[in-house]
Amino acid sequence: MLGRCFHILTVVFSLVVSLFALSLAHGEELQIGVSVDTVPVNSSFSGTRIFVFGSIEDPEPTAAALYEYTVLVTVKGPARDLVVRKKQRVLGVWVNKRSRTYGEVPGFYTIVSAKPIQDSASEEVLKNNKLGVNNLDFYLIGRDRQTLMLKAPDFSAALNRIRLDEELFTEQDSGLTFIGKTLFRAAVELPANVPIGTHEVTAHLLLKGEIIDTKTASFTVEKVGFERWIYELAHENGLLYGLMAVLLAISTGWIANVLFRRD
Amino acid sequence: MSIYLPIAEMSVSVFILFGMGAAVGFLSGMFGVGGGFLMTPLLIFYNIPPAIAVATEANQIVASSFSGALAHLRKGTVDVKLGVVLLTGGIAGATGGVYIFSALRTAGQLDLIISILYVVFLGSIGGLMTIESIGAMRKVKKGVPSDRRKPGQHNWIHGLPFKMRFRKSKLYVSAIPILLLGVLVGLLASIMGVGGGFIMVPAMIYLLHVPTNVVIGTSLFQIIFVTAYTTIIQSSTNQTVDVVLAFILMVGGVIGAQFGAAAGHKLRGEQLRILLGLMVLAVCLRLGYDLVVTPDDLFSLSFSNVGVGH
Repeated sequence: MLGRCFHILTVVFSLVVSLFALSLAHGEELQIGVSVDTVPVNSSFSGTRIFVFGSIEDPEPTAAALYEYTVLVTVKGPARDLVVRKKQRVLGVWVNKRSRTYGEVPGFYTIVSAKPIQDSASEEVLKNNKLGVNNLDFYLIGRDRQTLMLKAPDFSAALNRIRLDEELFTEQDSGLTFIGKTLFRAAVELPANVPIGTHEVTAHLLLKGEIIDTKTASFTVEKVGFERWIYELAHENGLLYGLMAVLLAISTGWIANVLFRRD
Repeated sequence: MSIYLPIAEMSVSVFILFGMGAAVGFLSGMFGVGGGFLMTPLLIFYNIPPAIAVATEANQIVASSFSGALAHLRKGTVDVKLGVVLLTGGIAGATGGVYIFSALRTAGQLDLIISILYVVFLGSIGGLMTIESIGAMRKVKKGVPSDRRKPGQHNWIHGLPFKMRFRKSKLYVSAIPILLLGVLVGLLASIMGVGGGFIMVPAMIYLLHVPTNVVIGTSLFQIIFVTAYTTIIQSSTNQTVDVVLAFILMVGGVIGAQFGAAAGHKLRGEQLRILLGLMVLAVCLRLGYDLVVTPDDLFSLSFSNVGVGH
């Protein structure tokens, strides 16, 4: 805890220093930093909160004085192709029938803002920049012609709905706070099921409804200790892992037999 | 206390899993069955993905069958030769089963097929067992002695070629039905996550006429090898064995089995069979209900390239 506080303090401090060391370059520029480089996942992991800090450098004095700057922070987890399947009744039984495959769907997506995103920018700006869960536009991939021809809005809507239910797609519309006029802090809630891998953080600076600068950073979610060892062994050397699993079972069975021997 | 399962990638309660292991272990000790056919559906009801439930359960069965088989080996109630022929078929069946499993998973039909197989097998076995034990109980009431199988009875099985002699079982039968039975049980082990004792035991008694005293030991003996093989193949092809989950279930299972065995001695054979039959039917109905009732969400998500790591 102390370590994290210290980390946060250093980030804030370096941002303050960089504010004073402003060059005379023209136009606003964003600087951001993430409170952690890695998020460790161990056996008791049940989600966590990380912070994205940032500052607006070289602000236009009147805009800053009037608090006209808006910042939207997004976090995207590692992307994979995803199949959405729909069940249909066949002979009384519910069977997966039609499916759509979407390419490179982020395993995690969140947008953090100071107020609901529809109040932060126009619908057009949000849509063009794919900001917000409903503006994430996934492309269809597939082997069959039917898949390519039909857009299937119910499938993409189902994808978003299920991901929202699983808390893997979220909109955290009060997680961002300004500290003074040009420093901000975004609290990003990561759920227990946050995917393993590199997550990309993007901050968008908006003035009068237009995006004037973006900056990216990243952090990694990784399994640690025993969980990491098990997971890596299972995926990298399945045969050895299987042999180990069998050996564990044999020993457990043998110990039980010795302990509870009745004859 | 919750624990993160590294392969299933989810947080679960240790106590609930341990309790499930112990409860199924108790029942398996009491009825002398493996318990895989109860454990796998329970894991699925507890939201463990079916693919992981099935493969992990095979791993757990290695522990329980090994523990049981040791006792039988010590008593000399295992026909090793018969067991080896069975497990030869079993390994062939399990190999095929794991590939069918992968193919079904890619096609998105694995969960459905697992459920249907469970409904069919549990329904028929549970139904037959219940009917048979009700009949036996009636006879006991009337004071008629329950009919014993007469040794030396012959059926069509005994007309098949490639005969082998099994000294311990006092049998001289064709290897074909034994191998086929092994293949069937191997398939079930890898697709359903069961030991297959519930098929193996009646088939050995009624089709092969194996003496009752060696049936359980021989069945357990071959289950060790088939489930161990399935665990290894599932691990290397599908990466669906979660050792943490398996270990919690194993420990719960072996402890529960001790108490179950003690409780089983207090009940009569037909009483045990009717209870087991009714329980099997209850699990069957629950799974069957889930197949026909309109699901909360018609849509489901899965990664398109299963088996490929992150």
